Amino acid sequence: MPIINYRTREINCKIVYVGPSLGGKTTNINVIHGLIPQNNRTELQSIDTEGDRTLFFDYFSMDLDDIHGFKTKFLIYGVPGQPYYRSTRKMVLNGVDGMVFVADSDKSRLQDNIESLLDLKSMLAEYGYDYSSIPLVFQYNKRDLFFITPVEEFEEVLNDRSCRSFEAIAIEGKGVVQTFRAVCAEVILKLNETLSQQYGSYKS
Amino acid sequence: MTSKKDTTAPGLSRRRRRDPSATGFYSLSSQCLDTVQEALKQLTADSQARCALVVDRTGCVMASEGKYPETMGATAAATIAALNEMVATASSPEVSVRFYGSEVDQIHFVLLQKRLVLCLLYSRNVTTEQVRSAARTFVNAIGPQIEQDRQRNLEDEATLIQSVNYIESKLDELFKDQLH
Repeated sequence: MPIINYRTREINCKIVYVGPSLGGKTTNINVIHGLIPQNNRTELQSIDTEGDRTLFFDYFSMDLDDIHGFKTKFLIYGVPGQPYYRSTRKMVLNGVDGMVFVADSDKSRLQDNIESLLDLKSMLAEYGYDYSSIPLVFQYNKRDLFFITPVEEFEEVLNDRSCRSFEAIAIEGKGVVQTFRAVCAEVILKLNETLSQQYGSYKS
Repeated sequence: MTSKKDTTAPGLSRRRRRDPSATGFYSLSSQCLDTVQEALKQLTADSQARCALVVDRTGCVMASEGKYPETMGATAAATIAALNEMVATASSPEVSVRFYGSEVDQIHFVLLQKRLVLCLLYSRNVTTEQVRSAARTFVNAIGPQIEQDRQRNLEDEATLIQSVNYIESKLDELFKDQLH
């Protein structure tokens, strides 16, 4: 859930990139980080293995300038995808406000995508979070491969909530920003709904 | 969701309960955070710590005093979570990390409130007891105030909602070259 800091006048939202190993989560984060002006972001921190595979998480935060007296900060995390790292993955999901599920379009990895999503649902349930109510966006990555899972099949087997989804070739930067923009929008929409429910609408 | 056990008591224990905060938002008032800030200043003076932070378990820095690495909120929250996975630390609200044979800073964590952690970095010249004592004073003074602050309503909600309404346009501005 977003954290509102009235002293620093900041709204903090946590976005986590999830999905199977080697699906392109870290690539997405690297691309986004590279596109944000330096004064709007922190350094990218990766706790990874010697082989550059994510061990704990990839992390940076992005600041949006002052809007009506409040700054918005997005804390962006990527988790390790390998099944072995389930416990670290789960830790990073604590307090998540929005998720991007980066699916690997390689036809041979369809089952990995399905298992990764099932694992995500189970971890959220262990925290007591409702999977169906957390903002989520799907990204079908590696669309440049030869043997790929059709989007229609992904929609059927993964996207059971009819969330927004995007095709991407993250390594070329394609579809990355659109995905990120969409998840931010979903998080903001949810925050807005929550605030409006409690305090009414102040739209100008 | 597996356990319904009450885990509100201090302690770096594993938590498996339904988190009511999974929806909505979490906030502390500016008045409360001013008090926390003053107390952090006093804490760093008393303990001679290089820096002191109050970090949310999700990795967000709520208040800080002194210089610290910019990603420390995330790594501190992750460290606490990782320690919880490694050893059963139920009923222990404090953890110290000591490094031997080098000049790097020592680390001390104290659970401040069920979702907040106090994190201190201090040099080898300062004793752990000195840090622990000052940290305990801080927690005893601030913990109840934070708990009480959670009972109040949001402040300045009109401005907040207006601000949220404009976040998307800020994002579009930031990524205008990529989106159009």
